[in-house]
Amino acid sequence: MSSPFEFTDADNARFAELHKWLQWFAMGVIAVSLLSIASAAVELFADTDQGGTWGLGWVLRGVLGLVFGLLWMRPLRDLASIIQTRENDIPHLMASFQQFSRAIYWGVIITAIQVAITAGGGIGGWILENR
Amino acid sequence: MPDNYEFSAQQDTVFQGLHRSLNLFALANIALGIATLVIAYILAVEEDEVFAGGVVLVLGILYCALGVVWRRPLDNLRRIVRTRGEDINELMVVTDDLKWAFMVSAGIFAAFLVLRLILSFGYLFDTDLGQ
Repeated sequence: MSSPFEFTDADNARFAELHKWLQWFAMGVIAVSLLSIASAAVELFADTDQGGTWGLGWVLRGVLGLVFGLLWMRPLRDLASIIQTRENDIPHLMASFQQFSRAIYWGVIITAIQVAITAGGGIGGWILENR
Repeated sequence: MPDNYEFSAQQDTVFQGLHRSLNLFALANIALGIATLVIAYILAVEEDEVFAGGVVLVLGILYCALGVVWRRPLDNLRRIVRTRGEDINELMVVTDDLKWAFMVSAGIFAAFLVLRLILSFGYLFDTDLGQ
C-alpha cells in the first residue's frame, strides 16, 4: 500500500489544463457523432442516392463515436477530484488513468472500423472496379 | 510535499495499460492516415478529381498527425514504470503531452464538424459539395 500523496498547486494547475482540453475533446467527439447521426438521417429522409447502407454506416459510426465521447465523462470526474479534494490524490489519478485506457481502447475499435471501411470500401472498391 | 514519490508495482500496471492503449490508438490513426492518403492519391491522380483529392489529402495528413501526437506521452509513461525517483516529474510531462493530444484532437474534431456541416448543407441545398 503506497502512502498518501497530494499534488502541489502547480501540478493541480496542469491537471486543470488537461481537464479543460479533455472536456473540449469529449464535447467535440459527441458533437461530431450527433451530427453524423443527424445528417445521415436527413440524407435518408431526403432520399439522396447515397442513402441506404451508406447512411446506416454513418449512423453506426455516429453511435460508436457517441459512446466514445460519453466514456470520457468518468475520467473527467476523477480528474476534477484530483484538483478539488485534499486527501490522497493517487486513487483518483489511478481511477482516471484506468478510465483513460478503457476509453482509448474504444477509440482503437472505432479507428479500426474506419481503417476497414477506408481500405476495404475505398481502396478495395477502386481496385475491383479498375481490375 | 516530496516529489520523489514512487508508484507501486500495482500502480505501474495502470501506466502500462495506458501505454498499450495509447500505442494502439496512435498506430490505428497512422494506419487510417496512410489508407486515407492512398484514397487521396487515387482521387487526385487516377480519377482526376483534384479538389476531392486535396480535401482527402488534408484529412489523411490530419489522421497521421493525430497518430504522432498520441505517441508523445509513450516515452514518459515507460519511464514511470522503468525508472525510480522521478515518477511525479515524468507524470507531469505525461499530463502535458496528454493535454496537447486532447487539444490537437479537439481542434481536428472542430474542423471535422465544420466540414460535416458544409457537406450536410450541400445535401440540403443539392449542391455539388454534398455529392
